[in-house]
Amino acid sequence: MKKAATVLWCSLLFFLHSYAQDTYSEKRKQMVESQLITRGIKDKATLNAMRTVERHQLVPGTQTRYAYEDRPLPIGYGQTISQPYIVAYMTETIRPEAGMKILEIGTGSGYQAAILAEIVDRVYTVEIVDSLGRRAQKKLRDLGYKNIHVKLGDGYFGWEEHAPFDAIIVTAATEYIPPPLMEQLKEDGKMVIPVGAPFTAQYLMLVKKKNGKIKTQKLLPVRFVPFTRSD
Amino acid sequence: MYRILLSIGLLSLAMIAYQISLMQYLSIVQWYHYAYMVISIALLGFGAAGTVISLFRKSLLRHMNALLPFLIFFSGLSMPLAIRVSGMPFARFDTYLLFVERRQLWQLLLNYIIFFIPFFFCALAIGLVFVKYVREIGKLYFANLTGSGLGGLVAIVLFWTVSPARIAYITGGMAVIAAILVIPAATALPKEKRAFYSSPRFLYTFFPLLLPLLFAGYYYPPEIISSQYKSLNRTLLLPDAEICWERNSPHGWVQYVSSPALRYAPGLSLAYPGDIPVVDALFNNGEWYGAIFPETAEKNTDVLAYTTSAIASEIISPEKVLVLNAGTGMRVSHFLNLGIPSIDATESHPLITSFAKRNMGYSRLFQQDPRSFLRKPGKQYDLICLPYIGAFGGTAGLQAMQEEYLLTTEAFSLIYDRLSDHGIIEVTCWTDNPYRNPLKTAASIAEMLSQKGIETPLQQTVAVRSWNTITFLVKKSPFTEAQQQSVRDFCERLYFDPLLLPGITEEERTTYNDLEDKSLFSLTDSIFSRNREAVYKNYDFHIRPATDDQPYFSQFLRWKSFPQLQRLYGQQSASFLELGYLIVLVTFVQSAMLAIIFIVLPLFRFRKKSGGKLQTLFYFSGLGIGYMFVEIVLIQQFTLYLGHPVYAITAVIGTMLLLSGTGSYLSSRLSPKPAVLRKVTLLITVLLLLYGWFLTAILQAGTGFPFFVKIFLAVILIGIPAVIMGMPFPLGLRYLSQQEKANIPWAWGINSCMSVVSTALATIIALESGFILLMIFAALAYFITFSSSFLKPDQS
Repeated sequence: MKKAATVLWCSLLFFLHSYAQDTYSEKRKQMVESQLITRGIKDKATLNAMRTVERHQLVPGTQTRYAYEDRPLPIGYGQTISQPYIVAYMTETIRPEAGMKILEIGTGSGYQAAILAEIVDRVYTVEIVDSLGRRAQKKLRDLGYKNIHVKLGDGYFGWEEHAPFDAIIVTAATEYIPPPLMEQLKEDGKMVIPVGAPFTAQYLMLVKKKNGKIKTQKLLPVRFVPFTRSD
Repeated sequence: MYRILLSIGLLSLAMIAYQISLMQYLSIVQWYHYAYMVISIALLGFGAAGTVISLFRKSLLRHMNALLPFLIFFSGLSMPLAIRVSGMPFARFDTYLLFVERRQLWQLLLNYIIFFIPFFFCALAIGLVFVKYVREIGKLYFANLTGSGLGGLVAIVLFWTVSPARIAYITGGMAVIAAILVIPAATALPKEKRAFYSSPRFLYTFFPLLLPLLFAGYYYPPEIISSQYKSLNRTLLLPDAEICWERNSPHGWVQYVSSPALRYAPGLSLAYPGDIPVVDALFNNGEWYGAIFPETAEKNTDVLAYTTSAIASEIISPEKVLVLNAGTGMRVSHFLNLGIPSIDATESHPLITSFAKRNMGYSRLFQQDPRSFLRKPGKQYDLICLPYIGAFGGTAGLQAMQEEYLLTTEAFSLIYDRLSDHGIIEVTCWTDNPYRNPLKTAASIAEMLSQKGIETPLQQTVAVRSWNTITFLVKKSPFTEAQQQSVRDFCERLYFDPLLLPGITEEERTTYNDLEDKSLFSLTDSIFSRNREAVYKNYDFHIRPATDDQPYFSQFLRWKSFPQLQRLYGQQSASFLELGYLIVLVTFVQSAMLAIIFIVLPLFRFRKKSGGKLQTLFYFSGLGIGYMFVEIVLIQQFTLYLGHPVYAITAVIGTMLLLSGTGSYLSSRLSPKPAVLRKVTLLITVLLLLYGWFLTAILQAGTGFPFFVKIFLAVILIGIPAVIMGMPFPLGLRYLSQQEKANIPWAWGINSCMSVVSTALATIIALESGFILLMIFAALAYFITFSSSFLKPDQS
């Protein structure tokens, strides 16, 4: 009788777990269709990664049910996890491929690192807020990401031991771009910096290094077109 | 009686000091927007107390002697308690999360109610004393108003001497002493009629016993937990970050923070070759104020030479430089590195200046607000620098309600007048998206040049752009060809692009920093053309330059564009473009709701038929709206005049309370006849119209006077309308008591409700239409009051 109850209990738990996973998997599919493809995200690798990474596992417990909504969410410490579309847009912008090595400054929730890790060989990510970094490190390990390397420390210095990088994403943007990061970016490499107040990413700054010169391009995830009024 | 007078005076003092300190507290834990919410909460407390007195007058008066010490005591106790409770997890709200988590709206509402309690008990105590000792009303008014007036001064003293979390314990302690003072009145009843709680033994033991509790609270004050999105909190997350020093002042709570990961290089060029030095930082009310070199640091590392703001010193060799709102003096330090012989700087924050001297070497520092400095006759400068406009990544619209008198067209004009013949104004702003700050800066410059009669503004304006900043230069004479070439060389060397330059080509504008949205160029060009007005009209954000009448440079929201922003960015993200204004709207709705619930609805108990309802409604609504509109507009206008909001709030609230009370007292000599009501209200209407037209000009002219002369003039300018505005309310009540006594509670309730609602409403009108119109609306409200006196009392 006791055994039967245990089996029944385990089956129930397994059923509930599978049901929840199916629900989240369905939500992810919907997210990709309605939030990404319709807004012009085309890169297959990016879309596949967005379909695969379990965003709900990387947000704080209180935000799990909103994980796949079309908006940024608070993750504590004055930080946010970006809206799925912005993450996809940034990922597509650097055109990640297998074999690449990418540096991320500002691990935050770990979601951007996880998306990149689905596509490229190695992701190096640095988080300055100790508790935030440890939380992301644990979650990413629990999710089985072996190609993500998390360092707790000052992102200003990048990660010199593993430089140069094919691309750098600076999610914790500051008023300046640290010179060490520019040095650690490969020739022809790309750096992406989302700029905006918390809960927004009003534009992305794409920095390109070519022939020793540095050029920037401001990209707009959301295109603001002023009204043209007849008056 | 003298004990009661002393008690009322002390309680009033404590309450006003608490009210002003609460504004500072909320500015620290949240943002500046809540200053007006505090005024509204105080009025709500007073209105609700009036309603309770109306409803339970007989019963309250019967038990008044016993109740009075308790009411005063609860008011005092709830002052620090409200602050402690509001910081607890269940009540703590965060402005940034207001449009992210629905519960935050409830928590904001809960805060309204928590802070309402001390005001409610205080008002109930004072109201009951007034009703009970109506024969001594003159002395009581005097005690109440003197206490209130002194409360403002005490608040200023407390700001200098006590940390923000402790002030409420001091004001609370004062209120408890005020409660102890009235214990003899409570115990005056015959022994057999006394309950145990009004026995002298109980009261003299219980109340003084609680004083040590307040002392304990003072020594172990609650931790001030501010929004996690404030820059101080984000800086404290850096490795080994620590607050090395902190001190309070009327200008704000200053904290000195150091961390080995803190660096300063705003908008640094990507061509910068070196290392960025580690700095310390100063924060005011939890917001970034400026970087400062540690005492031991080398001060010759000049990262600012690699920013767009260095362009001015690149193309001219200034002999005399003025840095306005110099903050911690980093810009001054840049000019010191260049060896410029004469550098003047202004900074009004007294605590900041004491640190800034470290960065400022041989420069001359003037501790005053820049408008006052510019008004005074003085030397002409080759280069005048303004502080950076906006913030990296945007401010989420949180500056929208801040009066920025240095960024109005009048201020630009004053600055221009202080330039030498070939002098230059330099102003740098952070770029944003959608474009707002750069366009409004360009518009302010273009408008000022147009007012100066300059027909070819683009010959005198240059702008250069990095990946995140734009620096505008405005020269008093046209830029020479050599100077134009210097601009091009500077841009080439540091990977910047010219935005405005005589003879510029489209390709030149995006050599190093390309834009996906190139409308910045066409819009900037249009702003400097004759089509400027069309750009203001058609652009989706409010980019018309700020003026002294509407000094809200960072207010960009246009309601008709908001639905489009919501469609584009999503409802939540759109709110973060213009958070400041939306918060005012939320507080407006919540205050209106609470005013109806706490003040108006209970009065439906008096539903018996009576005449003159319409007259009562119009008369007292007009008074409630008009009075608060005047108070708010005066606070905002005197911010320019006195140089800081806290001085303006203290001067306006203190003077208005004191002199309106005097007016109210003087009104007892007048007969409450319709003819008298009409004369008084018409006089106020005319006076307010005159103020609407002339006050701005008078204040502009007086900004250069010495501070004490300004205070004296402020008291006169605020006092004249305040005295007369204190008369119609008591006159109206006396008139009602002769005509229709049943309407008195309604009159009180309507007036209070309208006062509560008008606080936020006045802020919205000032943002949308400016101070002159707000003053005209105030006059109109008094005109409604005037007109209502023509209605027949039996009209309902």
